[in-house]
Amino acid sequence: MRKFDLANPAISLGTRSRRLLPFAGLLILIVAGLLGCLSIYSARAFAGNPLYFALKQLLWLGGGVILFLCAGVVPFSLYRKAAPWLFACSLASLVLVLFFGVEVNGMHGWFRLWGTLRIQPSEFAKVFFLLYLSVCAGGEENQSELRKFLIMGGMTLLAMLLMMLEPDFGGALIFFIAFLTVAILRGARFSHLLGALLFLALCAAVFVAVNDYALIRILGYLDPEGAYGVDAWHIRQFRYTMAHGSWSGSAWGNALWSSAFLPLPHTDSLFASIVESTGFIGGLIVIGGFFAMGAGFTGMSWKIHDRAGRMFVFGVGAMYLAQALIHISVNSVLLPPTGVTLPILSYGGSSLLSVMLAFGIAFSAANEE
Amino acid sequence: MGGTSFQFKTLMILSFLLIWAVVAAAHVFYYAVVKRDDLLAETRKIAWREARIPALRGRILDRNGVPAAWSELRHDLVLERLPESRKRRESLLQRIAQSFPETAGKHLKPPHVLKHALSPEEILFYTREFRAWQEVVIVPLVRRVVAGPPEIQARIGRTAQNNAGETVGVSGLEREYDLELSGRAGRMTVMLDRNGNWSSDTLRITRQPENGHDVIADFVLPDRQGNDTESGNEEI
Repeated sequence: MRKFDLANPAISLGTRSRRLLPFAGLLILIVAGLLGCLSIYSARAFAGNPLYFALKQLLWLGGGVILFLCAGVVPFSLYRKAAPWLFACSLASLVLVLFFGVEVNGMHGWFRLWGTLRIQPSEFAKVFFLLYLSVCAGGEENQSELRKFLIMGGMTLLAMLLMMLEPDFGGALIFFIAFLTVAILRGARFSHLLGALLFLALCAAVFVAVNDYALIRILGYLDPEGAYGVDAWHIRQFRYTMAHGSWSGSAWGNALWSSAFLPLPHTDSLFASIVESTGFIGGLIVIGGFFAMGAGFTGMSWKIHDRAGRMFVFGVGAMYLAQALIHISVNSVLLPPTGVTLPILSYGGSSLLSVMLAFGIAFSAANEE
Repeated sequence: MGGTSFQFKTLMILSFLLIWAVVAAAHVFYYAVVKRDDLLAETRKIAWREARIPALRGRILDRNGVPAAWSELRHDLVLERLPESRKRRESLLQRIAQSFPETAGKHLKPPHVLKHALSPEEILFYTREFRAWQEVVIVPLVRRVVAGPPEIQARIGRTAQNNAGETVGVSGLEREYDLELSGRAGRMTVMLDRNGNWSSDTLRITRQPENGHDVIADFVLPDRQGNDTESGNEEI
């Protein structure tokens, strides 16, 4: 263990603060996780067994803390070496879930472990995909920019395709955002990025053409009072739920409309439920909190010299901030409904554990400097 | 990739995400604050219901104060209709067969009373059991019971339900003293969830019901042995 250096206190303090960084991050994560448990309880306060989901989430939070500490202890160099294998395993799990998985809420994306315990491999695949992209983009410079872009793009396409087969367009979108972030950081040309965006639009069009429910949701979103108004149920409930919140909300544990009308108030519709409980001010704090998380990871990435490490650290912050913004945008009727959870806060073991894993790896990358 | 270039790119991405966050926050503000009143008015129409609480009709007593006609409240579990979707219909019938094995394999034609005269415990139990099935409802029924031999029953008369679901006297003493016996119905508001069930803790009684008054008749009900009981009460 290094001693405090009186001759050079700045360096010593820097080292100490870096050592403390994972613990500060862990503390913030635990507080956020506990807030998530409260939000889940509030969202289901008037439904049957409101404590059931909140207590289960608390258990996952405990497991997540252990996973975070374990992932933070492993040196980032090991992750760098293992990245292709981890990503390959993730792809394999995404293939296997199509054949051996179980369907939940119309999505074929879970493995049943035992009893009611299920695991969603795509949540962990996101983390390993970002790790792989960061290692790939931050690796050797002798390959041409286009070649590297195409390799990364090909892998992204493969992962997105598997996600869309579940079908989970929201999840596929997160993969694309991770790819776009790393591609921008790597310095991809504007024309290449534009091509990728056009390709995303093509994927979205194919997805909508193949899945009728997606087309109906979009039509309902565009004209909630029109012919497809019946299918705009989610959109109308999001509006009504937020209207119950007003400025300061109807207090914790009193999210009446969420419990009675909002579909999946503890997962895909959690933000609207939080707004009902805590009002616009509470919603603003959640948005501000996620942005602060993104900014924190950005600041952390600036202090890292390793290319792969800093890309991954920034990528984690940006990816989960983007995921939170997609969830918030869907709940605030800015985007058509897609099944995306609010990171850390929404109910779900796979979601929470994968976030903790990603943050643990990010802190490992930050500590390796 | 230099440090400055990296910082510039991350700031660029972060700025984009900040703009997105601001637009999302503005949307939340629009629905939570600006459009609040309009949207709440819509939710009141959708979910809140006002209903009457029937007043309990007064009793008709004989000269000795022995009840000759009284009202009894009873709750029946009723299958009101069958779901349109075949999958849901089969699922409901399977669920009903679990609770009431005698219905298994039978063709149930709604409205079908699954169980008569539920106890308070059964009301709570079946409310929970069929919470997800709005086709199965617990129907409150007020039954008028009339005691005594046929000539006294004829004297007491009959009641019926009007279009508003109120019990009114249509013959005999029931008709003659209808005003005293009827009382005044109360009012309540309650929120229904998406399945049409009452949301717990949302019931508000806006006006308490006033039960009808008892009326003392001039006849004496025979006891079980057929003897008239002594009278000490004021006659009507």
